[in-house]
Amino acid sequence: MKSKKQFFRKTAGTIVLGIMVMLFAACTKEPSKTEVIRLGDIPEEYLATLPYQNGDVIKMMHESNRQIINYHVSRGHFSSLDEPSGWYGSPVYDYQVYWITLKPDYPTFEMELFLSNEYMRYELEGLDASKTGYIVLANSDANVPFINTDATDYVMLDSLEVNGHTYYDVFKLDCDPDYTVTEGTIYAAICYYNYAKGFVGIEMSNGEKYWLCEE
Amino acid sequence: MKTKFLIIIALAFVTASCTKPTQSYYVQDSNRVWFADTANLKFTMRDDNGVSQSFSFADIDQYMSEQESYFMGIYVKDFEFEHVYQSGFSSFSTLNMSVSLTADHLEDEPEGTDDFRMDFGPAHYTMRIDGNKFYPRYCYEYDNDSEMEFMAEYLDKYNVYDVEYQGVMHLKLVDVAYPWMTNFPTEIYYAKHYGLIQCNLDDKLTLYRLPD
Repeated sequence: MKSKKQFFRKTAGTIVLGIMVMLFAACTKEPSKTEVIRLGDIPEEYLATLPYQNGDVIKMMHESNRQIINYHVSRGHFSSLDEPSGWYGSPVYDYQVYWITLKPDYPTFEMELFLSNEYMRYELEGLDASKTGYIVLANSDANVPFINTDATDYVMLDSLEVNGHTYYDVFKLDCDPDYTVTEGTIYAAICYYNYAKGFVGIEMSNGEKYWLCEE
Repeated sequence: MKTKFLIIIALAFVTASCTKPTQSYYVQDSNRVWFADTANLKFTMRDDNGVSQSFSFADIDQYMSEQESYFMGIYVKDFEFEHVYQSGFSSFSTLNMSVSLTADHLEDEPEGTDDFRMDFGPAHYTMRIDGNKFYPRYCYEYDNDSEMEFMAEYLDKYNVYDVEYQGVMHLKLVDVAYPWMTNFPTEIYYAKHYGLIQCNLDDKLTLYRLPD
């Protein structure tokens, strides 16, 4: 009886000791390190293509009844980490994203603009990268080139007259409808955008139009 | 003797727990007509200023909830009751909506009515219904913790953009003067088999359903 007790005590003690050793080994093992490459800030010349400041109020006019819609601007930025590609030893890129949101005081769509320097990771990898921001509005989105030298693939109007004002170098951007769009869904089809003013006009898929309204 | 009695009680308990629900409650057929038919799930609304937006609803969904009842810790009966619901969103995400019916299972007053709820943007309307008879409870707004009174009436027909809808539910807040209201549905017209046909926001802006 006594030897059986001793046997069980020794066995239990051995098992507990083994578990403790394993746990200790697991906790002290050095985690594998992933290289993080910081891409830095977005160049100032690209940030200059963002015309909106926090607190701005932009007026857009709906063409049919000349209803004015006030859009309230907020902007900010954050750092983002690009997930590893899955290849062992792949670096992770730390890049910046600037965002601008225009919220209406009317039951209609918001507008958003995003700019990032993620393109730098492709340049570091020796790949071609287009330097574009993108806009999101009314169930669709479109790319906006950062600077004119990247704008050769885009339609640019020398000038556009809107509500008694003339705007120059206006991109006419074809918007891509998102996955929620089905037959009959109204979405933004064309967006008119320039670096000085931002959104100058929007043509919807059902023919309705919104135009910038400045005094 | 005492042991035998306890065993019998335990067996009865286990048997009762393993049986299927003894009673099922279903939403009345006369209330199911308040959901949009498959052919009417996508439509466009246009407001007083000519601004349009699309609406898209999902087909009706349905499930049964089970309820167990106990008396002094002893299982007495259980029952199941039906939920039917339908939800949709506006293309600009400004006015999302859902409508649900729950079968009467608690014998709430009035007798023979189902529980009707309509979530529309920030508004949450709740009432009991029995076909064309409505018994409003309250309209609730979560952000401002406000409970508001509303009226509900049945209209044989109602015309929107030259389309005559047969069988329309008309809901309207009794008091629309709340300072925090922004894009709040203060008045709603909701047709059998079609769903939303007209609504008024903040008692200022009206949206109308366009014909197909």
